[in-house]
Amino acid sequence: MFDFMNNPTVALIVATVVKGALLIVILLTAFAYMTLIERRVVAKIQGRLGPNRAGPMGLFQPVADALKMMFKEQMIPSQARAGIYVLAPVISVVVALCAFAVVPIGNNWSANSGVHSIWDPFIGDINVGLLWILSISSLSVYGIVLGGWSSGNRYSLLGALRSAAQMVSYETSLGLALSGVLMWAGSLSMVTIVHRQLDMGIWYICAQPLGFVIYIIAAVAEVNRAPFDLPEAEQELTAGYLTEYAGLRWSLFQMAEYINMITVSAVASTLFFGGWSLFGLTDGIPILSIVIFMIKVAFFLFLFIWLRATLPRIRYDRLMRFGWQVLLPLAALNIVITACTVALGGDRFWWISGVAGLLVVVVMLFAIRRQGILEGTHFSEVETGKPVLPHSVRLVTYEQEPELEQDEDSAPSVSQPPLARNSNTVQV
Amino acid sequence: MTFEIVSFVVLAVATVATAIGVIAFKNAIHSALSLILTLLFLALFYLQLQAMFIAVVQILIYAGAIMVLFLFVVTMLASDQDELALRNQIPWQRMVGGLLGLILVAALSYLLFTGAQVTGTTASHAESLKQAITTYQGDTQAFGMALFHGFLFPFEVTSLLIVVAILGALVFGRRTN
Repeated sequence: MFDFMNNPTVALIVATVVKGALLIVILLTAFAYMTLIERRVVAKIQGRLGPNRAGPMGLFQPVADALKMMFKEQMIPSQARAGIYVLAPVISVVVALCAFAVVPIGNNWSANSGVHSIWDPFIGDINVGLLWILSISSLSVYGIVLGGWSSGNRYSLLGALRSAAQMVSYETSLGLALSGVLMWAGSLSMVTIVHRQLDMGIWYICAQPLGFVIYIIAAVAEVNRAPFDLPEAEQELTAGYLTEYAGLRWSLFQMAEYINMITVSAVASTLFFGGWSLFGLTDGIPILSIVIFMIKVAFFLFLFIWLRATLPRIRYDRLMRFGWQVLLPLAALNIVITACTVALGGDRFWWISGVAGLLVVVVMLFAIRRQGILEGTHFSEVETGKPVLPHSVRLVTYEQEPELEQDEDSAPSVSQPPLARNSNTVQV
Repeated sequence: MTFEIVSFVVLAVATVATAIGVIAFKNAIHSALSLILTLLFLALFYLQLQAMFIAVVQILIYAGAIMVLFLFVVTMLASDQDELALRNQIPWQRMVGGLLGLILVAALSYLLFTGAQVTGTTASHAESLKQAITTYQGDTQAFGMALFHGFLFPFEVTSLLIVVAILGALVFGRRTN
């Protein structure tokens, strides 16, 4: 019955198609349940219950959502360019799915890096795997730009342009942050990068802490998630490029966003956390490697949700300034550190770049914190002229407010009460 | 062999069709999309020649970075007008364009049909390239070696040129106070 599988070319094609179909099913299921988990987790963090009616613990909620989306009316706005309007969400999803093709989900079935089989748990181990992911994900901006432009709505167009600028800006830092890993691994193949980490005996997070931090920040911006979700900032742009979309097309965009999230999580765990490896635990049992890889990816997905529930959205100019003036130079610095360490003597000195990178990360966090406090301070002490911290940092509220408000008319030189001028910080 | 020829013909027809689309579409966005498709098809050509690295870099740089900026500008500037204004056309433009195109086609077909062989220095270059790929176990490694050992000086000069261009843009774009 399976005679045709004796022909190696045909067998390879069949195996690739089957693995691809399986991967798509897995990714779509993961997307459906990510929406549920995200709503539940954010609800927990905010002290709510979240969707818990459909099925036990709300487990059937994605099914209900999917049904609802399917039966919604598919409108095309009269101002829209119909062809591109319909095409844009499809581009987004196709691109998002393609990027996952080179990610090794587990070890070879033989548990031996030298023995390959066509059924190994990755679709293709191409020589330029990492570049493939970068290049495909750089195409994902088209879906958003075209969707925003073709909607014929100013909000959509502005959201799309924002997102294009943001993704292009952070892509540079993303690529530079990954090149540190490339220097250690000496290969672009994702499978080889995992094996090199096994050979060195460390995960690259130890040698590349700075690269990892830059990658995570840039990745969050790259997939347009909070706190970098400016393309759909609802206070400013209604829903950005999604404004004119509804029903299935809207959920296609959502699908693309979540699949992109899964992809960057998978890349983070492959490049910085040893992929499917866990201290030699997976040596004998290849199936366990898949479970471990999924746990690692799930951790990063949880991190994404956690960030969204914790951090407020960044203002647009600050986002751009942060990307070009902080992340990009730091990524270049990371390359310099890594290059020096690699040139110094290779694998044995990984701790030098590790310590140096960690130092830079700590300094960066302190500097950002300090600058954030100072920039959030638009007022100074009345008597001394010294800048003071905003209330959210001082944890002291409403000390002198009533008196100052009374003085306002009589003494214009006295500045307004801090609370009134301090519009940028969140009031407690 | 037949598979290669068939895929080449399909690709070639598709590439030429999208390339014509770039100049034939009246809408700037459609032209840009057509150009993106052309660049993607070119990447497939590289793939057919087993040049993985160049193919992926083609997508990354041209389709991914440069065309995004094109599209960015076009959507921002031409969002309201559906068709390009064609009134600034120079009258003899089309004729000269057609003539130059014919010359190009003639030159290429001459090379093709007189059997322009890879000879002399070009052949030895191709041979050494093949050797490099085997020595460094992959076209990426061979490319990196060539770039940073054989062609380091042109590479550095090119990057310096790009820096100069960026500086120029900065000077032009600066607000005058």
